[in-house]
Amino acid sequence: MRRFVYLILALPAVAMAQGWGNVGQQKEEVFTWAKWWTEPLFSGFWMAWTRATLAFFIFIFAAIALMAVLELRRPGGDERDGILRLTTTRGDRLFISLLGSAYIFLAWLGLVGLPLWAPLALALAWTAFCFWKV
Amino acid sequence: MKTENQRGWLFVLPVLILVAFNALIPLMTVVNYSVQETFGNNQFFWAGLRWFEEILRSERFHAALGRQLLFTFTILIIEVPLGVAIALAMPRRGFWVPVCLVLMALPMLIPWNVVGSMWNIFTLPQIGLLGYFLNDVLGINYDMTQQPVSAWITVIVMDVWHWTSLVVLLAYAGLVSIPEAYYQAAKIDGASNWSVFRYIQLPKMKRVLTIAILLRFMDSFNIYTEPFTLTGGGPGNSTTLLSIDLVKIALGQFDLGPAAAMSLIYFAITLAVSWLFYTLMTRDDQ
Amino acid sequence: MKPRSLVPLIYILFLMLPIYWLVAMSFKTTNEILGGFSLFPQEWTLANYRAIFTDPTWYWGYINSILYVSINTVISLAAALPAAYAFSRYRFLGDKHLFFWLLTNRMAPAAVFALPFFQLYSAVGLFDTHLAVALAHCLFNIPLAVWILEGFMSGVPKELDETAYVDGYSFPRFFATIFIPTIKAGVGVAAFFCFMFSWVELLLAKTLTAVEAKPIAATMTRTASSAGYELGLLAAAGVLTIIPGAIVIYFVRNYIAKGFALGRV
Repeated sequence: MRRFVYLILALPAVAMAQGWGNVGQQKEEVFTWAKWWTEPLFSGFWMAWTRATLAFFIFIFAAIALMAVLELRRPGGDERDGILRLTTTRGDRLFISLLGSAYIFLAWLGLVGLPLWAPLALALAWTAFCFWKV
Repeated sequence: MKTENQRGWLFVLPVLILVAFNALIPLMTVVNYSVQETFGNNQFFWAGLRWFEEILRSERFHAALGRQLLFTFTILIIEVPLGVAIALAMPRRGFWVPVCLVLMALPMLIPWNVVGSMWNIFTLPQIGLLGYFLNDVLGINYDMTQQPVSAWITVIVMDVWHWTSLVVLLAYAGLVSIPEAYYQAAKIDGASNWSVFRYIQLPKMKRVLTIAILLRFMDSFNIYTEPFTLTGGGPGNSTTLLSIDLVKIALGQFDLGPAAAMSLIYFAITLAVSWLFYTLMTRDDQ
Repeated sequence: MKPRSLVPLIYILFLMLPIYWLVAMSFKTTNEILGGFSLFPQEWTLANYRAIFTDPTWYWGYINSILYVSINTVISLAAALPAAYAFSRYRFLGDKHLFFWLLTNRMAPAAVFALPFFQLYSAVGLFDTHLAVALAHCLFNIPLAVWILEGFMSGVPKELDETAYVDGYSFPRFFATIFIPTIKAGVGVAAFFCFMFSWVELLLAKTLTAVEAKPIAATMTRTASSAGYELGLLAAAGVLTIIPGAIVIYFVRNYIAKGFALGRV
């Protein structure tokens, strides 16, 4: 019995003798696109930017900038009365399609869950519908 | 008619910078937090859309949203007809008009936490006027700190007390804009009180009532300080409205991810109602 | 007296009851509050008010609140006046969408902004300063001021601007000496509502301050939670916060509806 206890006590010592073993070894970093998009962009910065969220905002601002360019090229905002009995300009249609898409994604996420390919298609369809008819 | 002048941008620039600093940076931060996880020290790990899924499916969020909608619709159903009725009964001119207006507006100028404290003091059993009256004179067992039903009724009565005057003031502003000749014409035609209301007063009030309803919807949807000071969200969670729950998660537990996801869902609702407000307003402006 | 004038009378009575109770409590002694029910203070005391005016944590709460509210009102009006002029007189790229965006900030729940504001104002080193609260309140006060002022300015005929132009006024001189005096009622109303909404707001003010700039409202909530039975003191502090609004409201009595409705009545 005593021998057994000694043996157990000795086990960590044996392990110690092995040094660090493979604990300290860095695992080989494998580059994946998913990781590239989602890793912290500025480490330790409180705003916590990632490339994915940055891309999201660039997309939104680019869309707004596109509306501005279109407005400068063809002033008047392409105003019309859509089928929802709303008078809308290009900018309004962009807003309606973005907000509508947000609701589509949220509804799908709550009711069905990931992945979000189906609602993406729905959102694109909604956007097309907004710019075409509303 | 307005003139086309891009100099307008220069005039708007200070506003743009100040509001962008206050609105855009926080909004971006919230979006960033909503897809990440943190254990403090500004170290963040990607979490994907997990928080959104979690919040959208959590019982707690559904309960808070349900309570919020119940609260908002209850106060709208009470405040709007009550406000219109009081506005109709107000004198149109004379010495008492400014007195009424000032006294009615007074509750809206009281700091929101004082409103909560005031109603707390007012409704305490034995100590408060209402608490004493209900418990010791009428013999109704009423204690807002113990009974969820009492707490709910108190929160709603408090909001009615606080904001019905907004509906009264707006409806009254619509009513005084009706020329006297309309009423005389109605009298000659022998119109009943109801048809005067239905065909003269109500159409004139339509615009102001739209504003009143949307403002009341929005402000009651965002309500935080008054019910929090009054009940702290309790007893239990019975009066934990959406904002109270959000602040609990965000500043109480400091769960940045779920709080941010909840903020964005909350914000989406706000955005839709603001858009409705704006569309209705600008349509009437033309 | 017509029977229907009873309706507003009863309503006002209902409004005044809790306020009366707050005032009555503030003049009672703690013993009387806890001892039993009394409709009027049996023994009038100013001890609660004296406690507030002699304790720095209390009266500094008032000074802090007044400081950040005043800074906020000045910033909001200074920024909103030219912007409202632009919205009421010019058409420019994206004007309607900008106007809408301002509205969304007035409508957004403060609770959504509490957490990022805490991070933002800590990061720029403004946490626990009056300026932080004043800037944070700009979030909803600038849109409010722009909307109210735009409502008033749209009521001024454009001929006024044109005449001044023909008479050889420079634009800044016209704006300062003719236009602002013309809409001075609007400026007063906008200032009042900025002051008021900054004064009544607690959540952001509490989140952004700790000691130095702590508003009176936060001092009150601390009293309410820690020393649960200092109700007289709490009531007195509450009464003191009602007074500024009650004094100024008389001057804007004809515009209260317009102010609350963002200038759209």
